[in-house]
Amino acid sequence: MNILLDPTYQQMLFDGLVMTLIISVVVIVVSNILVLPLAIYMQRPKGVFRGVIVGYSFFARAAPVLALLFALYYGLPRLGIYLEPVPSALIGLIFASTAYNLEFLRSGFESIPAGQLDAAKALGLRPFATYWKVMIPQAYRLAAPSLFSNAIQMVKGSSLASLVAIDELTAASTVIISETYKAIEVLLVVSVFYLLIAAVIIALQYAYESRQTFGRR
Amino acid sequence: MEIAIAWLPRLLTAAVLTIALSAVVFTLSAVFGLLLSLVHYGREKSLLRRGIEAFSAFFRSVPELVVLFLFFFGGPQIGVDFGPVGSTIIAFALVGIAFDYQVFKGALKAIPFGQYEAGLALGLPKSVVFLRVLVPQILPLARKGWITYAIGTVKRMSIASAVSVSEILYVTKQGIAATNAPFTFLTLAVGLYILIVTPLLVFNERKPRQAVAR
Amino acid sequence: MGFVRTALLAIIAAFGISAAGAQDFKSALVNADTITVGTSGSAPPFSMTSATGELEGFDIDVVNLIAKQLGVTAKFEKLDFAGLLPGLTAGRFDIIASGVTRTPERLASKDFFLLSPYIVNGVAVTRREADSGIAGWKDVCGKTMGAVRGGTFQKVAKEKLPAGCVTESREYPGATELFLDLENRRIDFAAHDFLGPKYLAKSGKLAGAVTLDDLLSTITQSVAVNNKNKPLADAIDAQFETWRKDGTLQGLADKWFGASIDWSKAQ
Repeated sequence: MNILLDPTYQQMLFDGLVMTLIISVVVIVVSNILVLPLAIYMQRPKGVFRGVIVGYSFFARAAPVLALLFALYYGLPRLGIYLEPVPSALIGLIFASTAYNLEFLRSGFESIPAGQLDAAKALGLRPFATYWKVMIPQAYRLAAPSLFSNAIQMVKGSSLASLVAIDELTAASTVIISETYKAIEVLLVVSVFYLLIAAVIIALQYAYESRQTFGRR
Repeated sequence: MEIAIAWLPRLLTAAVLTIALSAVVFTLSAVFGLLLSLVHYGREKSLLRRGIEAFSAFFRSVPELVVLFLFFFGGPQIGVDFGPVGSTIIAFALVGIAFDYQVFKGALKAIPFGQYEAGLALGLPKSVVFLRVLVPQILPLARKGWITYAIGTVKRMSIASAVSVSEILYVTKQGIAATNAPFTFLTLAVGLYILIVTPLLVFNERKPRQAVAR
Repeated sequence: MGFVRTALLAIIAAFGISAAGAQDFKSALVNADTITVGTSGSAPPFSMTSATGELEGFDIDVVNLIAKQLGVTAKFEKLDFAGLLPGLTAGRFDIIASGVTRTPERLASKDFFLLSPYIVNGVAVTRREADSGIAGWKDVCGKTMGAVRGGTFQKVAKEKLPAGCVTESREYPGATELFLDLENRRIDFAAHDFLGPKYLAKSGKLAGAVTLDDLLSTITQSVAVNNKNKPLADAIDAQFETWRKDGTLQGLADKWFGASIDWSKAQ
C-alpha cells in the first residue's frame, strides 16, 4: 500500500474525496427537496403540469447521465451558453436523480389504499394535515429503501463528473493508476472511500427503519 | 448523415448486445434478490440475515466500474480469466442482486407479518406460503422500484465500455474518435437508449393491481 | 518476497539468455501461437476504429508486421488507455501497442519492458487557429491549459515551463473532449503530442485548430511487452533495430503521419 504513503497521491485522493462529497451532498439534498412537491402534485388526477412532469421523468430516466453531462458541458457552448464544470455536473446529476426519486415516492403514495384519503376527509382533516399526518409518513415508509439506495447511486454517479473536467475521486484514481499501473490496489483504496460514504447513508437508513418498525405487528 | 448510415449497423449490433447483457443481469438480479429477501423472513437479527445485509451494503456502495475492474484485472491474478463479458455479467449481477434485495425487502415490509403466520397455522408448507401468498403480493408492490432499477441497468451497461465490451456507448465513443461528429453520435446513442427503455417505462406506468392484495 | 522476486528475475534472465532462438518466446505467450495485443482503438492515428469496426493505424500496422515476422497471429483486444498498462501487468496481454510514451518512470519499471523507439514525436501546443496570440511555448504563461487526464504531456509541460507559468489547467477523459473544449474556448491551448493533432487536422477531424512546430521536448514512443516474456521483448526490439535502419518505420510514418522521423533526436 505504498501508494497511500506518497504525499502527492495523498493530496490527490484527499482533493478528489472532498469534491466527491461536495457533489454528492448537493445532489442528494437538492434532489430530495425537489421531489416531494412533484410527487404530491402527481397525486392529482388532472393538472396542467402533469404532462410536463411525466415527459421530464420519461426523458431523464431514458437518457444516460453520461450523454446528458456531455451535452450540458460540451454541447451548450454551441448555443452560446457556457457552464463551468461543477454547475454542469450538478445540473445533469440532479436532473437525472430527481426523476428516479420521483418514481419511488410516487409509487409509495400510490400504494396507500384510497380508503385512507376518504377516511381522512370524513374525519374532517384538511388537505395539508391529511398529507402531513397520513399520506407522507406512509409513502416514505414504503419508498425509503429505494430512496436510500438511490442516494448511494448518486454518490456513485458523482464519478461521472470526471467526464466534464472535474477532478473527483474516480478521476484521481485514474491518474494514480496511469502512473503506478496498480489498478487493483488503487481501486481497493478508492472503494474503501466510497464504502465509508455509503456507510453513513446506510446508518441513516437503519436509524430510520428501526424507528419505523417500532410499534408494528 | 452519411456518417450515421455508415455506423448504424455497428450501433444496432451494440444495441442488441446491450439488451442481451441487461436481460441476463436483470434475471439474475431479480431471482436472487427475491430469494435473499425471503431468507429468514421475520428473523431480521439472525446471523445469516446480517451476512446478507453486509453483502448488499458492500455491492451497492462501491461504484460498478470498481467492481468490474476487480473481476477483470483481479481474475487473472488469482488464475481465473472471466473475460470482458463474463466480468461484466458477474459484476453487474452482484450489484443488481444487492439492489433488488433492498427493493423486495421494502415491499415485504408493507405486508402484515400475520399473513405468513396465518399461512403456517393453516398447515401450509413454507414454500407454498412464499410462492402463493407473499410473492404475488410483493411483486406488484416492488414493481416500480424494481423496474426503475432495471432501466438504470440498461444505461449503466455503458460502464462495460471500459473493459472493451462493444455495447452502445463503446461504439459511440469509437465513432466520435473516428469522425469528430460527437453530437450526431450522442443523438443516435440517446435515441437507441430511448427505444430500448420505452417498453419498460410504459410497463412501469401501468397502475399496479393493488386491489388484489387487499 | 524480495528473494522470490530476485529468484524469479534470475530464472527469467537465464531463460532469456538460453532462448537465443526466436521460437522460445512462444512458451510464455498468454495464448498459444498468438500474440495478444492490448490497444485503445481511440488514439488516432496510432490506434483507431473504422466505421466497420476494423482497427487501423500506425500501431496496428507495426504489430501486424511483427506477427508476420515472428510467424504468429496477432489478436487485438481493445481497452481504455488507462487500463492497458495495468492489464499488461496483470498478465492479460503479451504486448501493448497504443502509442505508449517512453517516460523515464516507465523505462525504469519492472512491471513490463518498454522497447526502443518506433517513432519520434514531441510535446506541442495546439491552439485555435484564430488565436494568433500564442506563437509558441514562450507565450503560454498565464493562459489556461488543457490536457488528457493521466497523460504525460502536461507533466512535461509543468516540468519544463518556468515555475508558476501554468496557473490554471483542466484535465479531460480523452482527446475528443480536450479538443472540443479548445473549440469551446474554455481552454486557451492543449498540451498534447505533435503528430496526433497534426493528423486530426489534416484528415478533417479537428477543425479550426493548429498545432505549432515549436516542441517543448522530444518524446519517443514504443511498444510495451509483458515482463514474463523477455525473449519476445528481445525479438521485437531486434526487429525495430532493423526497421529503423531499412526505412520500414519511416514508410509507416509517411503513411499515417506524413512526417519524416529524425532518429538522431531519439535519446
